[in-house]
Amino acid sequence: MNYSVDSVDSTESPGFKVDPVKFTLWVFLVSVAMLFAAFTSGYIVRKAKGDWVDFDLPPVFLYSCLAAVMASIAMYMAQRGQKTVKKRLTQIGLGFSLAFGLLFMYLQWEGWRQLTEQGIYLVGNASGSFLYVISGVHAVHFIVGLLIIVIALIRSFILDNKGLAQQRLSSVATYWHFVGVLWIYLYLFFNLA
Amino acid sequence: MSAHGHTESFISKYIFSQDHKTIAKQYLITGIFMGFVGGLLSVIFRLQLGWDGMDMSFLKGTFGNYLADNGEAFVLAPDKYLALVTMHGTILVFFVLTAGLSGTFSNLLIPLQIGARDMASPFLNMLSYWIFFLSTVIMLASLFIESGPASAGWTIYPPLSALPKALPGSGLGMTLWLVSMALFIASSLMGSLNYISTVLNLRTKGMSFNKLPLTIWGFFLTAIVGVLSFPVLLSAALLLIFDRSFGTSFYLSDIFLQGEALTAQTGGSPILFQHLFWFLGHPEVYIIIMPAFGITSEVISTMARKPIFGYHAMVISLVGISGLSFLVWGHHMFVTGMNPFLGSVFMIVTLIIAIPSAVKTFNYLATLWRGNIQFSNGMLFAIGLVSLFISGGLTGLFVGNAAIDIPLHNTYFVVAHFHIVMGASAIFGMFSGVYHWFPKMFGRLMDRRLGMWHFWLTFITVYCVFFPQHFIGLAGVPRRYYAFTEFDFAAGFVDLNKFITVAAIIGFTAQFIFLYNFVKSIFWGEKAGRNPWKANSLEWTVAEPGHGNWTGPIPTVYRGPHEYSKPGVALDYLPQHVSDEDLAKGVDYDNEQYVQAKA
Repeated sequence: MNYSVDSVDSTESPGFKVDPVKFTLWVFLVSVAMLFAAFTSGYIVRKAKGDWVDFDLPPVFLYSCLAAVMASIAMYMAQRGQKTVKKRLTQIGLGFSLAFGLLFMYLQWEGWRQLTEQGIYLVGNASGSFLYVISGVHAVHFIVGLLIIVIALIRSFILDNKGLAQQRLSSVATYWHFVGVLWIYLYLFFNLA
Repeated sequence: MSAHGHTESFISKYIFSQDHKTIAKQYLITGIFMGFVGGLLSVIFRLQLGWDGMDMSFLKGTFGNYLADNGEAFVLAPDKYLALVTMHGTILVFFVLTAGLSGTFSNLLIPLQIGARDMASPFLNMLSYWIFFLSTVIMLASLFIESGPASAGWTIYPPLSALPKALPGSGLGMTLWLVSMALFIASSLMGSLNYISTVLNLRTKGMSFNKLPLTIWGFFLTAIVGVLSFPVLLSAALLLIFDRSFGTSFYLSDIFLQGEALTAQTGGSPILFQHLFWFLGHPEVYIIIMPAFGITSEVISTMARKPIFGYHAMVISLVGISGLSFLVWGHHMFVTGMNPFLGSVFMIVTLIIAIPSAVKTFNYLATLWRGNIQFSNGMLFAIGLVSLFISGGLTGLFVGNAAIDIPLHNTYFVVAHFHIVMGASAIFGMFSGVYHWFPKMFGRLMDRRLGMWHFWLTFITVYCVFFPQHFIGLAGVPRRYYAFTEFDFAAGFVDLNKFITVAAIIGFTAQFIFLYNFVKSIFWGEKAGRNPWKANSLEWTVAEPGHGNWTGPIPTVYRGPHEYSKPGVALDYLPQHVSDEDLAKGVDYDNEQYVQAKA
């Protein structure tokens, strides 16, 4: 047998219990969680200092929570399609994930617009600044998820069933669920903290 | 074609290589280069401290904008003194002791010691290095801009870092610092993700956690600490960027100069930045020292020809240090008006870190005790680390105690403490690793006599530079002062400063011995052979590793990495890949054919 770097497999590494790509993704998500933990901790510390303007979040941010949930459910459909080798179901699931994801971004945009109508801007009291920065950084992560879904959707039309079965859709789903849950956490945090 | 069947061009083999060993060398060479740059900057500002007002016309060609004409001479400008201090700290902490140390040895040793053909994601590994390289270029470029580089200290506290007009270096220099560090953090996270995933998933057969070399434990826990703490620094930097560039008020509040408001930003809290910064900043100390601990453990055990004393205690200590590192950041902030009760909590947790640290130190000494010590260059630097860690660790008990830290805060005592316990110790760990694993990187040995000169000159001058600084600090002299001659209470230390500066110059010059030895040995060093130190871990089963490391199957592991001088065994080492059956049969595992058959 010709041994090389390409011959890494589970027989050589019994510790190989989790797909390393998926495992790396999980560790990455931990680091993203730490980023937002730092932001929300900073929010609490800054709020405790005083000079803090309280305001109500526009209800549209609640609707974006619902959009995130629907986007996750659609992604679950796509995964079911991959597992049951139903290409059409995968494509529909990914399509709806993308659609609900775009709806989510629209709702976030609408939420920011309504905030400005309330006189809450990025520059001003730190309460508003934190909201824009945290939700903005979340939006960047969400957009990355959208781009990944676009790629997965395009591939679902190019690849045959066998090729589609080899796609790392579960990693895409993990990331997608994570950014959705992250927004729900942030929404609850902004309302309760 | 490589020995392992890959078709490789010069670019794919040496530049954009995905081989972990080549990436390790790239990190090492970049780290050494940055080490010399950081060291040179310190020599320049030490000259100013030793001889205030010294004519530095010799800098005109390179750093002309760092000089001020006082009518008699071209002296180092005070704001550029701060810039040099800032860049020295930044380069040494992040680019040498984080990326240079961890990047080099995690890359080199993780796959080789756990028995893997490469990292979990070789591509991500390559990307990690090149993003680090880009951050290096940006940080170095900031040295040469007209207004000078960042000058707010390596901790970049606001308002100096948040107000672009606070200092010349607070403008473009600070922006470049932030861009560079954002890239650095991204690179560090990519590296850490790979290290964690590789250690957990790609260990060879038999390589259970209690058979992992302590180097791997050090790198693994360092990566976990990095993944958890660097994102917090990123959050601090992002908020700082918003304050600097978009006018938010996270950190800035009511800054007035001579009755005039410097900024319209109000209500911000600079203390918030300190909390976020030190949540990374303190774990960063362990990100720097834990790989050095791992290296030292391996080198001391191998070269004392003894099992490491208390393997499990060493592992538990590393885990304990990693966990506690997240709970002690407040000890950097005792003077920020912190609630005394909270200060007491941070103080107690800080002092508890002394326990695992002491366990490690005593175990090093117990491993050395009555060992058959072979004073290789790597061993000398490993013992040097133990010495420095004890010296610096003891003063940690002082500055970890709020009652003592408050008068000592921001004095030269703190400078002496962290340079010895973290800076010099980790550098010694890095040198130990370079000398010890040079044969595995380049197939040759470094010159022992030159290494001896390098060690003794460095060891002596490190103590000469930093030990006297304790006394300067105890006298209350603050750090970052441009000139001691300006203040009566500090003027008495001018002569001592001259002594320190001379020692620093000698110490810096001694590093050229290392550089010469390093370059010379790559081409003309004595051929090392497969296992020159008669060591146990798996990397020594590889002769001339190509991409994929082992030309045959990866060896199976049967025992721990520190079985030296085992009773009943003829040789004084027993490699991890030798099974009990082979041992019972009396096979000659020192024999090249045996190793080749196994790997």
